[in-house]
Amino acid sequence: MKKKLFSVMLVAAMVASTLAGCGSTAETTEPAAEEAAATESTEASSEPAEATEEAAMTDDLFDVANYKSDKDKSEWTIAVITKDNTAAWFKRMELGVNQFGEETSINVIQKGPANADAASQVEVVDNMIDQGVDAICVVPIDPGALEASLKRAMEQGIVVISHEASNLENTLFDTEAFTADDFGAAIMDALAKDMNEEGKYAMMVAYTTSTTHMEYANAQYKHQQETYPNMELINDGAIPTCESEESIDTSYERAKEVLKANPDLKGFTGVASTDCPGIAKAVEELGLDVKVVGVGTPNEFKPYVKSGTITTVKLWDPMVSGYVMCKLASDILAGIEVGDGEGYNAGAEGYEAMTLSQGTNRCLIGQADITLTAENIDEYDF
Amino acid sequence: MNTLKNKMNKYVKQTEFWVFLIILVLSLIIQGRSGAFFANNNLVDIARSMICPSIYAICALLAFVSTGPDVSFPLIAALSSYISIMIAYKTNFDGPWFVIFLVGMVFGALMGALNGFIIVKYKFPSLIVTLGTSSIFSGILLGAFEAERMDLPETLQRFGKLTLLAVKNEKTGLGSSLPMTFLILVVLYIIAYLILNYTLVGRGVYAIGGDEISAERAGFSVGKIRFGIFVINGMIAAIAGLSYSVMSMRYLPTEYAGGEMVVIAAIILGGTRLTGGVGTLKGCILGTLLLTMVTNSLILVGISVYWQKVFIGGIIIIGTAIPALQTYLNKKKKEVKAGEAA
Repeated sequence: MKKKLFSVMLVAAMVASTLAGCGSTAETTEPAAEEAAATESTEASSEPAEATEEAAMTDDLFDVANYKSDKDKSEWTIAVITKDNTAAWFKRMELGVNQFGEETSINVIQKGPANADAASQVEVVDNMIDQGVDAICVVPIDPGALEASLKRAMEQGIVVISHEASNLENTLFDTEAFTADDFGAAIMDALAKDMNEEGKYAMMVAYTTSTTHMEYANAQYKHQQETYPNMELINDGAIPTCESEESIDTSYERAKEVLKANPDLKGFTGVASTDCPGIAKAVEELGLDVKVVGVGTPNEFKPYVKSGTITTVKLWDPMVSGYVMCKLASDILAGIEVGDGEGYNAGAEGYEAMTLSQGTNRCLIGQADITLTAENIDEYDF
Repeated sequence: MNTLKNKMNKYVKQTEFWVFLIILVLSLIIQGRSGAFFANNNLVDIARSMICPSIYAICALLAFVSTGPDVSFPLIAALSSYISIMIAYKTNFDGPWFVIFLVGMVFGALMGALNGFIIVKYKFPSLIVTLGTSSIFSGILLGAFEAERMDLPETLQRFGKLTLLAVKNEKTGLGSSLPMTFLILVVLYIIAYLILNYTLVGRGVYAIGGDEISAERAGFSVGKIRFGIFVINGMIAAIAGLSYSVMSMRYLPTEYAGGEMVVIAAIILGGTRLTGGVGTLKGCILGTLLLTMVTNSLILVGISVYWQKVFIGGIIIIGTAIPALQTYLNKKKKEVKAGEAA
């Protein structure tokens, strides 16, 4: 009897731990949604040979012209599948999706999994295929888990478009807001502007092992050296200055230390969503005039932006990303010539002339970083 | 003269003495290299950073001394503070802050009781049980409750803004302040000290860890004491969890997990034995101070990000080697003495 009770409990523990795992993925991916996007695009471009081979094998499946729909536009349904429809990030995306629906009077639906885990998302995709939608636009939790379902969708003639998934094979086009290099440079431009292009600055990342963060950091430094000679990264240009370990409290403590060791510091950048709130708290508490620029979501950063400590927030707008995916899907359904996607105009700001990066898939990259300051942050509610 | 020598000898034999020595030497090195260690604002910063790890250290100490490792306290802290904060929101509670702490402690106690029940009733190793319950709590927190980062209720925010001590460095103009949660730490240590040293139950905690069977024969109720310890650990964890959110002014569900390792390293540095029965509160404070000091000074000293972890690891290994070395030397001394006698 006791043994039985034990095994039941052990099983319960195991189930709980799997749940926990899923829960935490959802947690960490959402606020730092930036991260996935650009890393993968660069990862992808490093293995073009393999990808072209793939493409040659299943050429038909990836020929955009095969996806022209015979039905009338009013009968199309475009499904947008997110990682978690309850998250503020994807609620924002839904605004763009609905806006597209209203403008074009095409039927659009946005759905997310009940639990933010890869298996539940696969279920949603399968459901959509069975319902006979004409296009699926997906933001994958785990691209690998979706491959089979998305392949099946494409075999049935359903247009598949993805976002933040440059390592996904079975998609006609992946769409990204920017490259890591451009984004890093944009962060540096913002900081330079706030610092009047002179003085010492420091950089924070979540971990030195976070590929995207390090790419952003390296791009920042490179851009500063090329463009802003009067600025100086402390510790003789060591990248990064410190790690936040994905924790606001650690970010606060490290920032404090950096500020104590460098009393003449004028600027600080942070690329994880945990970085800037911690830095800003330290700056405010120490009573310093240090400009803080970084990546994060508007609602979380609003108090510090309003108080003037975080001077500029950089990110991309999920609303536009949602719009762009739908637009691309509808153009393919309408049979509009998009070719390999180079120079595609999605009719949204920053996506007028997207560049193609051929990797695991055809990845279309925009120049759609947005800049939030105290003046415009109220316009963004997510 | 002789008594002084005896006293010195006694101190030198304690691990705490050596940790204290390391702290002294390191702080002088840091001061020498950065010139900022003994600045008043830096000292206050270190005191602030120590608050949560030191409270956790009591949990880790109680568990190690009496039973074995407890690794569930960070998640008990996360889950109980989440529940108490949510209750405060749902009921629009705006009374005194300590009511939220009390609610958190009740839930912490329940979670601790689950640990205690399984460990005492089924005599399972505490490490396995607390690992399992950690997963369960984390599953409930992030899976079932879908906890997200959130702001704190007004009353906790007000509490978080109170400062016990504010200093300003004359030279650099940098300020720092010690939050009220520091008082919680002080009170908890006083209570723990009194109970561990001046009550029968307190002696029992050490007795059952040293030798369970002898303790039982001496009349201590091993099961009851162990169960009680895990319940209390749950309550202390809840206090630490709420203190953490009060200090960061936000509830941050994903930042708790993983905190146990540093705390356990700290108390072992402070002389707590993995085998049970030995460990002091003084050691907890010193061990935590050493680790906090090192982690919070590496940037000050100018050590590259990539080497910081190597340094922290090195300190942990050197620190834990000391008690091992002591036992080894003592054994050798005894052997020599035994040899002489023969």
